[in-house]
Amino acid sequence: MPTAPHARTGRPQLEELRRQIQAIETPMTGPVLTGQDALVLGAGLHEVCPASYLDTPAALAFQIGMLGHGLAEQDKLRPVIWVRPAGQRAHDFGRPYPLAMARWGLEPERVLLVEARDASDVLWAMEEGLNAGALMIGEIGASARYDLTASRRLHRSAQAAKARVLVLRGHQDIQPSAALTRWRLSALPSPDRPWRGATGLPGLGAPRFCAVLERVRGGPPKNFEIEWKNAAFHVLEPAKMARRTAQSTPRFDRLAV
Amino acid sequence: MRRGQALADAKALEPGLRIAPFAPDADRRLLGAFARWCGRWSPWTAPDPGEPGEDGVMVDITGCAHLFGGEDALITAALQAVRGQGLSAHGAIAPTIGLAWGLARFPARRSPSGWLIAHDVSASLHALPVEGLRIGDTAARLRRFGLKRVGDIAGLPRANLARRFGPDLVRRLDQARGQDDESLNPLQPKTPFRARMRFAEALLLLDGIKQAVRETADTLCAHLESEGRGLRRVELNLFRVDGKIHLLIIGTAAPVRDAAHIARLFNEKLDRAEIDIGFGIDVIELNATATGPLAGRQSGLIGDDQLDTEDFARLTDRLSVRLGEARVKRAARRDSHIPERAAGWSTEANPSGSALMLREAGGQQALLPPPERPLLILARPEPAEAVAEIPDGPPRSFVWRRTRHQVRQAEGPERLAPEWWRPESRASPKTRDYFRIETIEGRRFWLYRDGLYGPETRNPQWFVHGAS
Repeated sequence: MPTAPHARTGRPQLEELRRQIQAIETPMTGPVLTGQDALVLGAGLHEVCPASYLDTPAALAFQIGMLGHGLAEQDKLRPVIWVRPAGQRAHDFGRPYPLAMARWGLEPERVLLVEARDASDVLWAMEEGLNAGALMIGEIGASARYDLTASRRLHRSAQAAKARVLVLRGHQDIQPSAALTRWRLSALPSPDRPWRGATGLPGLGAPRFCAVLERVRGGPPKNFEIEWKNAAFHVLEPAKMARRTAQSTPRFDRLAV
Repeated sequence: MRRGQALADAKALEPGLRIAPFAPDADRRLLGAFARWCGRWSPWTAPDPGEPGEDGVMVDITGCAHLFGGEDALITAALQAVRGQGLSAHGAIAPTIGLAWGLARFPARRSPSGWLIAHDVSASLHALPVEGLRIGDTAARLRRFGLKRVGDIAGLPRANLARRFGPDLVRRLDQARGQDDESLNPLQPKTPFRARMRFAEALLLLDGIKQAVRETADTLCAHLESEGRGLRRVELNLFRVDGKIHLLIIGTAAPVRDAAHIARLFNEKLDRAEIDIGFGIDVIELNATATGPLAGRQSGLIGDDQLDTEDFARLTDRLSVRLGEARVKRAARRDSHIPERAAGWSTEANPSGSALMLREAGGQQALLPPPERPLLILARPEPAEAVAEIPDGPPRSFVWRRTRHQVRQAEGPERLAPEWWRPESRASPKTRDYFRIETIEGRRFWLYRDGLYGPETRNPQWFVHGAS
């Protein structure tokens, strides 16, 4: 490619070249790490790992919230396919419940639940769904089939379809993968409701999570404390975190065992 | 004996009378079959149902009579054949449908053979009684005016007739005269939706079979398009050279007519079925065993790459062909307030409950916001050991799956009474008090106490039913 000598490169030409290069390069697909937009995921493969076994439901809730978080208007009509391997009873917290999905920004009419036989069927169904233009939620768990090759395939398909794939991995799974981001999720105590019920315990506030961005392509790891409120994630300011209530000790009046 | 006579009177007249209930549907089916049978004289036949005992079949014999030796010979042979089946029949041949109808039912003078041929339209028509014009009740009104024969009204001013007796009379008169158009709506032979392909050389490779399936599907889909139908269930028969037949069946979520899609679904099946091709496949046949209406549709003018319902149905097809129909599910909702019954997942083939409709019709908001539910729900609630206030306080701590959880926040109880009218809830006829709780770590669970303390049980059991 013939290039002009540096001496004669004017400012406008430089700008033009920069613009061209930017167009050629794959756009920045990791999360933009500033402000409230920090959690908007790009097209591609993203992983969520619960910090412990008991954080699995919180990780799934985060996953569903992230799937629709900051989604472009035209993408909101895309179907969502939720693939889960059938028969992992020990690691199971139950099936997704359609009536609760709307609260996490997912209309159940759009969801297709696929209960695959084994890990290879899970991967096949996810790739198939991506090729059809769906957004995907996959529960991989600890599976040897989900390796660098499989994850790269998924990532490529997702990028070609400009779709998000969120994959739930096991909390002890440390296999490397080609995902854009990996989040480690644990639940945080939510703020108390300002009222107390007749029961003496405060009500449940907006759910909070501690999301550690362990791995991100083209960026440093980062720690987020976030809150799900009004159908969107909000990054909590440090000031808010400081006012977090201490663990209240339960009050025992009359007891039954 | 006449029509409309009381059964008792008829039996008094003829004690050996055979009685059968009136079955109009069966009569119509028989008449349809009979009309098809009449296709031996002309391909253009149609059943002509009438009053009981006056059913008819119309046969357009234009250009067919000479094959049987002329009109006389044709109608003689036809009536003989019909009577040979044990039916009583009259016939008429006329230049117009209306006249033939009238002459067959109301012949002015019955010929000994039971048929007549109208050579002179106006003479035959004028001799007909007015009932022979296919005008129903209007005939009785005409008779009140003393107009008994078609000849009586043929000379009257048309405008007056139309005003007094309705336009139908004039139209029928014109049709009987041949001055107005009338055509038969003939029976169409029912063709099955089937496409097959034969090969001079037997196919030995799977790729060749796939290609042939694709081309056969093209033929089938072209046929379906002309009929405005789409496939719901298709059988693929692979005929092996040595006479063995392999059968593969696919079902679709919605009627489809896309050959590429059908071929892709069969490719999945073919890849996984491990078919023994043996010495080769020499005939393949696609057979649509179930079809549904599918109107032609125009693709959008602006290239929208959004996934519409059709694509969604196709994706469902592909997933269910490979993974099994029972493994691909959509949200469904039932009319119940017991959580595990109220909503769940149903398959396309075996829908249970209606498709989920969360939004009210017309965009109206529901009166009450739906109660908060956990994201994950256990198929079978699991027992937990809980420390709770008596009688209906939330749990303060509980042990579930050998882990102790301290409760920090709680909401409840949400009291759900058992649905006593359902047989399956008789097994556990206890009220459930549901609590949403959050532990000191921030984990959320959904617990319930089975039974009200006091009236229902002395020792209520706690269960974990959902999480987050």
